[in-house]
Amino acid sequence: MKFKLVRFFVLTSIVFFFLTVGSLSFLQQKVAVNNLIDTAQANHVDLTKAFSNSLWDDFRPFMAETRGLSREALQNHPKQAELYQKVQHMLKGLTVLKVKVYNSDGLTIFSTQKSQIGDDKSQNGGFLSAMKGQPISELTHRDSFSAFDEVVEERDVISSYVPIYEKAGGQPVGVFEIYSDMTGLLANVTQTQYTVVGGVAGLVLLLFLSQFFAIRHADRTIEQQEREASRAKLQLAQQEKMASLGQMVAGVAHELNTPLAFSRSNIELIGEALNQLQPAMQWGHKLVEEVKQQPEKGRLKLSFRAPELRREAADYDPDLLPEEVGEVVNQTLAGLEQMAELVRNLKDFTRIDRAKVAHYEMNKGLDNVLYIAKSVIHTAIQIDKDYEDNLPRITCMPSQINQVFINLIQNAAQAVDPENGHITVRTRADGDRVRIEVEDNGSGIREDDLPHIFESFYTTKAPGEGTGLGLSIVKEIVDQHGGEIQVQSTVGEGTTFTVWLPVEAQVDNNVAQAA
Amino acid sequence: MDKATLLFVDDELHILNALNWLFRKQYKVLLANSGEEAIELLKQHPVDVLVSDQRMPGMTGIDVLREARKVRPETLRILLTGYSDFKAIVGSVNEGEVFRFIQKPWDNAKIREIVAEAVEVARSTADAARKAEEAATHAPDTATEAERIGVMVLDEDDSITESITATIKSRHPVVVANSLEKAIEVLESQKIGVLISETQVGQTDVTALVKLLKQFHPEIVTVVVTGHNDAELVINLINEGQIYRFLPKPVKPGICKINVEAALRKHRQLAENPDLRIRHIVDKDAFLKKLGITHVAELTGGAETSAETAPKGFFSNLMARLRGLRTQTAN
Repeated sequence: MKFKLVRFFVLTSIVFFFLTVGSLSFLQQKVAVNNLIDTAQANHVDLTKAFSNSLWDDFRPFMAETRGLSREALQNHPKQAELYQKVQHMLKGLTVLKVKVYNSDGLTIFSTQKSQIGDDKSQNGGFLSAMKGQPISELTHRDSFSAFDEVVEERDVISSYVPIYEKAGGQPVGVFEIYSDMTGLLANVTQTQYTVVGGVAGLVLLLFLSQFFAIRHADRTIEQQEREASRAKLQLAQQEKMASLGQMVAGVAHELNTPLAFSRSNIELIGEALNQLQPAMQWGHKLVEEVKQQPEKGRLKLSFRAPELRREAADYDPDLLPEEVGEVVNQTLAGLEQMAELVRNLKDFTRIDRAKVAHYEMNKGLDNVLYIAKSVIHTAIQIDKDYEDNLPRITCMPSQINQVFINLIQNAAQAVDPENGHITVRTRADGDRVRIEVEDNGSGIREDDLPHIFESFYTTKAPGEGTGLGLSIVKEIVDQHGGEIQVQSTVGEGTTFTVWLPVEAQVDNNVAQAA
Repeated sequence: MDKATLLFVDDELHILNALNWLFRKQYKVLLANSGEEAIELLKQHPVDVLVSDQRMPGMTGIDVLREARKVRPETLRILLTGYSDFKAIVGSVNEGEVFRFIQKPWDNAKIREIVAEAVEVARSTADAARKAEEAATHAPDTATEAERIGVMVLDEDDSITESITATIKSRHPVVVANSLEKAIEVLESQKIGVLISETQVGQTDVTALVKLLKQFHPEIVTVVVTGHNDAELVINLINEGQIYRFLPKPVKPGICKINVEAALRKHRQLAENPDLRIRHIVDKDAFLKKLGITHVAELTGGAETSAETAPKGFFSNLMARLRGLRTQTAN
């Protein structure tokens, strides 16, 4: 599938967009909430200090008195109401919703929520942490929460366990648990989060749009350039085809010229000779007629007169003797046959039909190509055929396959030394394919050039001598036929191009024959 | 006088047969199936006219002509061409000193005419040609001799005129003409031995002048230096203008020098052996007839042309006629 730049960009950008905005929002929220918790905890620690400073005188004896008391006894302790009054007084106006006090055994000796007094929290993580001197806080959302005088709903609450010290540097003597209402602050955090995310999303969107337009423009430019390049390549390929066609036409014209020259000369000669032979033919004719009239036996009586005969004979000097005329005619016919054969080959070679043809005989096709190629390449180059008989037939577009091999043979002819150039065309059956080799003893291809020779526009020929499209077209055609092409070359020794083409399927064969 | 000898060279036997049938009655015909065979035959037999095909495996037509020139310089050389390969054609002019080109397919009457003409020229000049060739190969370069040869360069290309002027100015007078009119003026006032010419100067085709000159001054040796690389043009310039050399532009100064020196030697040879001039002439009467002129005196007001200088008005009249003829054909 073709790579679509714009689509790729949009998809990756959207993924990136959500990842960025999402993680940014998450991070921002986390940091803000952590800050909130830290602040609240610091407040709670301060509050605890204030609490121990002002109320410890009340709580210390209470703590000692209540040690070992039962839950009911604790809840109904006469000092509870007094303590509640003092705590409420102290915390009035703050966001604190609830306060609990634990003794060092984890027993709840005081709570602003009376029902919780007497609860054992000795195994609670928060309590244990605070007893080790480490205050700890957590943020939770409560659907409903019992505050001092009322029950509040839908609140975000931070609770902290804070150790109580009797003197600085000593062991905690108890734990203070404070609940603060954070709903308003948390709403602020969320609000900030929305603003930040919105702003970032907007910026990223702007960035995306500007990139989108730039990339779409780039994509269109590239596409246009590609179209132009492929059009230029097509045009060049067409030009090269025309140039090689022109060369071929010139070669074929020359090839036609030779038989044309002697046939024409012979016919002119026969025409003249027939005129010159006129007397002989007339006299001979007359003689034969007279002989026919005479009796079959006995002396012939002829009406020829000596002076007349002598006069005719004196001027009689034909360029051709009667018995030679037949040979001149025969040679002329041979010339006509040569021309006919050339035209036949040309017709086979330049089949205009672009359709695939079944039962194509590779050996015959190569003969055809070689016949045409010989008119284009240097006459001294020796071309050998090494065909395997009964080669399986193939299905192909003959005009295209012809182009492949005329290209390879022409290349070979250009690579060899005209004086002792040698080209071998070999065919072999090779499994379910037909293998065709075009081997030359030419200059070879440099190792650096070998990997590139099938690339478009790659040429080692001088500028103007080749477009570098010949072999790329060859490869394209072979690929289209489901074939394969390979090259082996040694500089100074020669080059072999090997083409494999698939044999036509047996089933196809039967179907075609049945039809 | 015994029959003249012709040697035909072609790799196609049918062609040899056809040519044999065509000429065997009038001439002694030798046939060679390859260039190598032709050179062997040439070594064994005196040959008046050699006709060779250009495109053959092994030795090509130019190779045959070049070798033949060495083996038998007196033999006139004709090239039979089908495929107008520019390089081959130019090679046959410069290396093979070809007398005529015959194009395939030929017309029997025409080929007989050309061969008959070649035979006549060959027979009447064989001795002179042999001697001249020997003299030329043995004699040193005589450029410093007292006799100075007028050289005219007819071209607009400064690089060519400069390089030629620089080469020979010290030894021979050089006139540069940059138009047809100027060239005609020079020809009518000065003695010219070597003409170095483009085929086209400005918009004017000057090949007519080149051909014309050879009709009336066969001793003038012509070197064509041109950017118009067309095989037909060369064939035409040989068959009708008997040019001595054809140099396609761009010409390297060295090549130019060698060929101009050769042209100077050739001119001296022709000047010393008037008999040889016939080897470089084309049928003058036929040429004039084409122009509708029955006698040369028509153009000169009674004065006969000499080999030395043309009478005033001769070339301009002839060129005018030639142009008139062109216009008629064009219409």
